Amino acid sequence: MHSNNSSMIEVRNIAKRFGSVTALDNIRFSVSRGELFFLLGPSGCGKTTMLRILAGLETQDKGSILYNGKDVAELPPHKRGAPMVFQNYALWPHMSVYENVAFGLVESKTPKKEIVARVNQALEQVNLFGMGNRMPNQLSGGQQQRVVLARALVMNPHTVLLDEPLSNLDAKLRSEMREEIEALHKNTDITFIYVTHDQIEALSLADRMAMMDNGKICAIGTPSALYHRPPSLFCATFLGEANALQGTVLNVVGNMVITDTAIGKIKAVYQGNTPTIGTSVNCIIRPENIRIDGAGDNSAQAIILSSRMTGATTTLLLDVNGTILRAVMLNEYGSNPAAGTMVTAVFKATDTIVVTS
Amino acid sequence: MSARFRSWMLFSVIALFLGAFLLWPLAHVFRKALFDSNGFTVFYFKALVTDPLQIRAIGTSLFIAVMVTIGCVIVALPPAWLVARRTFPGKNMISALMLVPLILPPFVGAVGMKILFARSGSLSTLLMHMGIVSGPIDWLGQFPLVGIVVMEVMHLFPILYLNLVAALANIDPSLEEAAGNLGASPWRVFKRISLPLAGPGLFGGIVLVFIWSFTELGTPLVFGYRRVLPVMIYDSVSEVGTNPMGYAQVTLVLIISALGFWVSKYISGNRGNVATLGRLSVSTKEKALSLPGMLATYTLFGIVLFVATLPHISVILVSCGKRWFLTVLPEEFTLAFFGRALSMELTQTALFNSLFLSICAATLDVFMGFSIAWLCVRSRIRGGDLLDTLAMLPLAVPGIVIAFGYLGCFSGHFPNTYLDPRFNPMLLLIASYSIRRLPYIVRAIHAGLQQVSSAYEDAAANLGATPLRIIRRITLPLVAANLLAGAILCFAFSMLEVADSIILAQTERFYPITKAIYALMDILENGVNVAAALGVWAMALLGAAMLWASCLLGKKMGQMFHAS
Ligand SMILES: Nc1ncnc2c1ncn2[C@@H]1O[C@H](COP(=O)(O)OP(=O)(O)OP(=O)(O)O)[C@@H](O)[C@H]1O
Ligand SMILES: [Mg+2]
Repeated sequence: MHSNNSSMIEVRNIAKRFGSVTALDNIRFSVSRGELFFLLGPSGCGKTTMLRILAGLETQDKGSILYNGKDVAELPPHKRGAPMVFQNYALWPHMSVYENVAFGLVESKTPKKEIVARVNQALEQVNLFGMGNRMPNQLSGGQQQRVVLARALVMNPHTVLLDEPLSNLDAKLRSEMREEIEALHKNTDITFIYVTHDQIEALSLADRMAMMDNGKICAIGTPSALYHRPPSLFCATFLGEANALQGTVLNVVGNMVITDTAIGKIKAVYQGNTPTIGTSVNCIIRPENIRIDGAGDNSAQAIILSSRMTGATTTLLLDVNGTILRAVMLNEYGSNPAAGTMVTAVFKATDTIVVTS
Repeated sequence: MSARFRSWMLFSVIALFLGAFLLWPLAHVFRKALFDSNGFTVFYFKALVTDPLQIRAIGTSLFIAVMVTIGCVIVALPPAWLVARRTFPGKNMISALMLVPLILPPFVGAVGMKILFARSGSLSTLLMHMGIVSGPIDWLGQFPLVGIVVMEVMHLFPILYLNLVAALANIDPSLEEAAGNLGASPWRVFKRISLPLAGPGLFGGIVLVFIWSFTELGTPLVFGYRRVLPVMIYDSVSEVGTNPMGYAQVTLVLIISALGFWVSKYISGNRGNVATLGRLSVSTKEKALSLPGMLATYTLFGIVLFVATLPHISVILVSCGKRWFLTVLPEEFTLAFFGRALSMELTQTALFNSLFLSICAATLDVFMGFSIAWLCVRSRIRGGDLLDTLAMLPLAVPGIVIAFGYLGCFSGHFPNTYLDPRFNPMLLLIASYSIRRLPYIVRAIHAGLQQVSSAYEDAAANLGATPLRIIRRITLPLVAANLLAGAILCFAFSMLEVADSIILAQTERFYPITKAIYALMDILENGVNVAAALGVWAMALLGAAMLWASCLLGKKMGQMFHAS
């Protein structure tokens, strides 16, 4: 339920250094109430640091954080009301599962009866009903992870900060929990800020996402926009697979660009600033947008280097005059081309994006 | 009131206490050492380092300290590892027995040992009976250094043992399993994983033992070995008005101890901060022993415990033995001395005084120790490290120095008040007991805090716990083992405090137990026996306290570190 569009959390020009390491550099984004917002980036890019600053556990060097329009600089961690699912769990080893989950409710002086009911409900929610008496070290990694999740959700918070909450679960549990989070997201007003380095998680769950690299945000948008219209080479290659062809801009016509690349002239689209003629750019084509039949705006003669069936799809490596293109196509029994076959690689101009950085 | 402000308040209160009861008396001592009637002078220091006699004494003291430290590591390491990593029947009891050496003042133990190893003592007689030697041998006269080192090792190794067990118990066993899994033999795992991870605890313990044995006064004094620095300081205390050499010696002790402390801090600092993280493994850390392993284990503990309790045995023999001369054991036994040791007014008051003083001191220490360690490790206020350094200072300050500083300082400035030891020494005794034990408790809690990942506290803050609630619900329970270990040590050693008790308590009404024992040795015909009997009572009391604490600790440990 996205009841309104007011921004629940606003992050303004946050910077943070640890000694000589710049963990965060001028981070800006805002998340609206009830939104499921992702921070996606490779290991060490500063995701955890950003979450800790949001939770008040770390103090930024510069910038400010607004919850509901109010600056929270003066709010100590225990008053921020944004429970966090810690990457390293931080389950208290001297408390049982029940006590761990009840912790926050006890702190907020919730009546005892209500605590029992809510803790049990939360445990049920994460499939741990009846395990309340166990100690954390009697749980598997995945179970511990779910306790941390329950510990945060039981608070009925306005915001939950999730730091790689599914990283330690098996594939089945992971998809179950993903659905659980999706359901929570649909049925409640909770704002989620979800940190991960798993692009599938981000692409499948996010309302919007911010991609981070080296302490900076390099793109913000919906999964679909970032996937189909990546603003940079990093963004394109980190999010899904991409063929990148280096080229020089020959001409710009409307929103079309003609570039000269190793496999010939290519027609592509661009976003944002018009590319300057003569500059060096990259043309991005997703593997699933390359076909080996029919006609299109761009085409090139290619030899199939290898053909690998991976279940629903087949991945082809195409050699075009020494440039390797990766193509992915749906399987159809008996119709997959063998290695060594000459084919024509075809792709549309609207599937080809020029990025300048 | 912000958390920062509260931290500063706490900081100020503790700094004030340490300033008044540690720095001021020390400053008094320094002033006497470095200033004479003509102003500043280094004359006494020059005299100190150019006198071959003094240099010999310093060298001997250092030698003793090094040997005692090595001895303690050798004695404490195997039992600590076994207790932390293996299960065997009777483990809890054996583990508790390891603390027995702590419950006897070394000077009382030394009295018993003197009788065992004297010319006319048990060992000589035994060896003569067996025909191994032809005449009586004065063991302690022949090998006084060996005697001192062995005696101190027997008394001090439990400190290292406690530290090691606490440190080993805090290591996530999956780290060790991972190493074993990658092909390391148990010994290699111990050497490459457990030992480095136990680093802070081990180094903490080693410095304690080193500095303690370096400044130990009672043992060499009773053995009559006067050529060590602490005894020479003690000797110069009696002529303190006329000869400032003692103050120069104290200053030197201070420098050497500080150096040892700094080196160890540097080494353990380089190892980095060892924290156990939240991902707890399912494994239990304690494995059962095989039968030969069990036999070896019992033999090891048997030998260690027998040797370590020799002083106790000898004291017990003295307390219930009549006529003991050139025989292996006393010729006659009696329980009369035990009754006398309790029926005298002197001893009754002394027992009560000691209990009261030690409980007060231990309580004060737990509060100050936790506050200091917490300010230093967790809060980010600047002065935290300063306070930590200040709290470590007493390691380098022998009891006599503090006591003498108190006497000089407070008697003069606050005559006939509760700060005047001649009027009523109780307050100053509590202050000196707690200050003398403060470093141990700070060390113990410090090590515990360092091994508890701050992520636990972050998680609590994140779920709405105020800083005070976090301390109560998360930090304190997680360092409870270390806290309790520290409190027990503090209580026990306060009961056994010798030097400051003897100097500060000057009327019988205020005698603590150690001073009563000391006094008994002189005043009665069978004084030594009654004194020994009182020592035995004190031992029993302390033993019970320790047993109880150790049971509590075992349960707490069970709750915290494995399935309960
Ligand atoms: N307390 C700290 N002291 C020093 N450097 C730190 C500290 N915390 C983080 N860093 C550094 O800041 C950078 C960002 O760290 P952060 O933990 O935010 O990364 P991350 O994106 O969460 O990585 P991962 O996906 O591996 O968890 C890293 O280079 C890290 O080494
Ligand atoms: Mg992280």
